[in-house]
Amino acid sequence: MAGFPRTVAFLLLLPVVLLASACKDEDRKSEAPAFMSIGDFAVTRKPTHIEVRDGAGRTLALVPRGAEAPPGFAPSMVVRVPVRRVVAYGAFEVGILKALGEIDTVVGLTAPRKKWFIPEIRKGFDEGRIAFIGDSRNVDYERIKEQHPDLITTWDPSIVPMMDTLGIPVVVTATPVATCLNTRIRLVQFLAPFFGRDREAEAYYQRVKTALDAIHATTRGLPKPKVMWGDIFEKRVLVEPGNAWVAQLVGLAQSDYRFDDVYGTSCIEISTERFLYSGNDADIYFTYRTPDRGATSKAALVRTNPLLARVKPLQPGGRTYAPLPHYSQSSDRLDEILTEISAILHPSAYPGHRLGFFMELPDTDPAPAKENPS
Amino acid sequence: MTTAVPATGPGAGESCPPVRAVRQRTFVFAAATVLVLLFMVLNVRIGSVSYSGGQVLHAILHPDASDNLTFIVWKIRMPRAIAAVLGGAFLAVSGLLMQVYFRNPIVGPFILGISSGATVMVSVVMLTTVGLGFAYFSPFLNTLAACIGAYAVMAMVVAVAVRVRNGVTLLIVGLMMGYLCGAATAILTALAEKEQIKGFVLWQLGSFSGFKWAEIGVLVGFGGFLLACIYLLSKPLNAFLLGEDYAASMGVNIRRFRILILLFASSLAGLVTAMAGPVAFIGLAVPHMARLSLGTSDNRILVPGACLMGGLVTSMCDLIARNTLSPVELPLSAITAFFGAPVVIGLLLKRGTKS
Repeated sequence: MAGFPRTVAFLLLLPVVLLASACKDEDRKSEAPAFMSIGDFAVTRKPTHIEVRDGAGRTLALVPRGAEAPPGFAPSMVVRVPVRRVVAYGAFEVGILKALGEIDTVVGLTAPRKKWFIPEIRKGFDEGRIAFIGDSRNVDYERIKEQHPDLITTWDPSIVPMMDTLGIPVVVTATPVATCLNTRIRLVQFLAPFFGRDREAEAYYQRVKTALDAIHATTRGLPKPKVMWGDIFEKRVLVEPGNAWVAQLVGLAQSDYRFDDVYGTSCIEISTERFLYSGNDADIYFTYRTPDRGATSKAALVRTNPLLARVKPLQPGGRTYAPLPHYSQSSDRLDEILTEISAILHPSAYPGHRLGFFMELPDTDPAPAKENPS
Repeated sequence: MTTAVPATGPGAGESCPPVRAVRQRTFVFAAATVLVLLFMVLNVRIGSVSYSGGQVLHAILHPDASDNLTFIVWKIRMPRAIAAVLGGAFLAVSGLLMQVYFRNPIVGPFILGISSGATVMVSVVMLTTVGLGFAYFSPFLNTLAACIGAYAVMAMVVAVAVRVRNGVTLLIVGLMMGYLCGAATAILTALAEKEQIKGFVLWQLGSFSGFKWAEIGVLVGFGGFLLACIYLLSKPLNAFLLGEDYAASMGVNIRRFRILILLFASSLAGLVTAMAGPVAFIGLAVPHMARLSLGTSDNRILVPGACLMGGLVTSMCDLIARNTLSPVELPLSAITAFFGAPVVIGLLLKRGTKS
């Protein structure tokens, strides 16, 4: 009986301790240097092969075709290079493959043809070279096996045991902290050894770095617009956390990201009052939604949650931007995307810039065209 | 497996309870009332945007001001604080009714598929392009869809209850309804796009965020009416708890009474689920908390007791969910389980040790 109050106290305190430790963990992440946030990704060049540690901390051996595999690696951890057939989970990886000049190696994707805007991918589907292998949460292992991939790039480590059984090497391209700008830019260097495309990766990296340097130089000394990035649902609000790549870009482009103090691995829910408070004096709002998902006008967004009518960028004359459908599949043009975001933040510094990845939302939806009686 | 009937059960409710028990109940009611008010005040006072107590008080006293704080206090914090109390109270009473109906302590308000019905309709709106065609109903589209889903399932369950007398059969029918709705939701989720799923997952976690005064009006009006009806049924409920034959001998029309219990319990649960999404745990655990802390199974005491404790627990959990990692919001259902489950276990262990 004497132990009862302690038991209850322990049970009550347990969640508090768990929550407190979660907070500390976030703090540690936020304090980590930028390069560390690239997570476990590493490339080590050995005399006979290349060792690549992926986002899940697994080390794969990249061995030239015909050469002997190094000892100590299970067959599914040996990747024959250059890779010729790839199953890719994410649009970002597909864009990277395009940047490396290896788009034709794609043989399997987790989105059907109609979802793709990349011409080479559409053509691949039409020619039967690329197969839709099912949704990323529920892939069809038979289709994957049938495609005979040399490699699967995925963010989902849960498929690794099954792929080990099938003897297909998997490289995990995501870590819990892989959303930062540095990772976004450098992932290409991590994937390049699989294809022997280090030169192209370096060119891509330099291109993006040059764009970032140009953004930094162009926007230096300009007044800082206040920026918010997120999405609105009927009663809830999601935002891009401060450690996300877009948030870091906003900071780099001499702008003030309103949710810098929010940390998370992906878009994260915050209170409506905080969104409203930050939006009260914000200058620019980016929504996640594309026009075909309802982001057709500021009025359309406000309709989902009328409280947000007080958010300055959502008011008439305010500046709200929605990504165009092909935006998420254009990582090969990351330098252009970064430049476009900078141009949106500082239009005066980019005179004549024409938007290619985003659209500025009108105040209201255009009236439906009247039917022509003839 | 039947609901616990402590020494001062419904049967004993007719006679005078011991003075000690009366004092205990008075204390529990007084303490719970004070705590509910305290947490309501804290929910209005504390938020992700920091203001002093004086500023918040000024905003409360000057509702016509157009500044940001007044807007936040009157349009965001106050409706949410009230909704948390009302929602918690309704779910707790709904759970209590279900536990009495099935004479089973581990059933909750969603056992008959109410939340599954709401979820499947919301999934239709959020995971397909159907919602785009009904933009006129925005921002009440999800609420309307959830309402339709919850009450459609309720209507089906009640229709079955009219024909079926056996509670276990009804329980199984309810479970099957839940599975059917769950299956439809699963198919829609599997076919949905990733960016749509995040919002749907958030809805499924339940939250009192974004409540509007119009919704509070519905909660107070319709929910208040249901609560009053349920309170008037307290005495027959006590008789029902001792068995249908006993209740019939006391003049209760069992068939009509069973339908009424189901109707009221499901209506309350559906009302909250439609507006806040499925909030877990409250309806299952709070009746136990009320029963154990008040030391009775007398529904004349338990109904208001469950109301108060449901409001208290939900209000407290919402405060924690909003402020622990502020401005990030934690799922309310996770907090209710985290803090409520140990309390129920503790109370049950305490009662077990005593007996």
